[in-house]
Amino acid sequence: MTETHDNPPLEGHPHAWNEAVIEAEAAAAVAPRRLPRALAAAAAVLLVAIVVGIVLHRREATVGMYVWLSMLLFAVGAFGVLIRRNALVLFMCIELMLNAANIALVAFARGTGNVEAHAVVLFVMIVAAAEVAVGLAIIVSIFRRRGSANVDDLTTLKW
Amino acid sequence: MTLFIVFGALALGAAVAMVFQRNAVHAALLLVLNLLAVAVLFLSLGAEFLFASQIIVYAGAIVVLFLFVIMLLGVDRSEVVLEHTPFQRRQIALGAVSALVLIGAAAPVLGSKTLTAKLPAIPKTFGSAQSIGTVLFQTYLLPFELTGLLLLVATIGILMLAKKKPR
Repeated sequence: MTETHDNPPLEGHPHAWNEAVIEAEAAAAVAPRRLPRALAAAAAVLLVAIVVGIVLHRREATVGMYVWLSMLLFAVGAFGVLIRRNALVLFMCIELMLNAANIALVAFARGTGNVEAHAVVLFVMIVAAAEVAVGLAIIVSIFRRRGSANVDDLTTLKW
Repeated sequence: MTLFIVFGALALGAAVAMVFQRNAVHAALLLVLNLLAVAVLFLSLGAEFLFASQIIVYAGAIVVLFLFVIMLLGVDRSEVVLEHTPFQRRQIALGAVSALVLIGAAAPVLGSKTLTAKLPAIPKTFGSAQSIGTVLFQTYLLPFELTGLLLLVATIGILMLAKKKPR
């Protein structure tokens, strides 16, 4: 940081872009200070959920509610895959989607009283583990070659 | 119902926070929270064995692998998630639209009787390791063996990928 301040780049110099990046990174570095507010929001949501849960504790959960939750989690995961650019976070979002599908399977197993869906969920978990291991190995080898885990940097196949 | 609302809210909140988290390490920890909440939901659905394997396989092994790679690569620096560029705005709009389409595609099914009916009573052995083992080794024996083969292939593939190539 001090080096850039000692000799400030000229206007229109290629370094001007670097300055913008540094400013953006500084803004991102300041951001964790907002964490307490995020924690407070999370605690408030959880408190509301507990109150609602206690009020409605006599009503029984149906399969449909679990399917709703599974759909919402899947949509959040798909949204994350579309907007994030860090390859590792992309993988986490894919895990989220697989897990959402698992919730629906387990809910249907409970609704129909059939245990076979549990075996299918087990297979999904095994395949997810294999997929993550191979995917992370690919990311590591890409990182070694290119020095970046950002999916926007991988444009070799583009023409 | 209480269990469902509390842990469902926890799972959903952790998922949303994960998607908008700048720091990859924090995102991984929020993923753990989400997976643990989902594990409790499994338990509330009578899937005891899956509850245990969810914690061991997902929250244990997979997320540890994620954290290990994050720290190995040193990409735990914060990144800017939302830049206000036209491209990023288009990306977000596209993401929101596709999320809505995903939900809309399933909407017609949601009114059906299977989904709104009360949960039936289940036998005591439902979801125990014994009942799942019976299904796994009788009905799904061949797929089960194939997953073993899949894991073997994945292990060999990882070793090949992670090996330093001689120049």
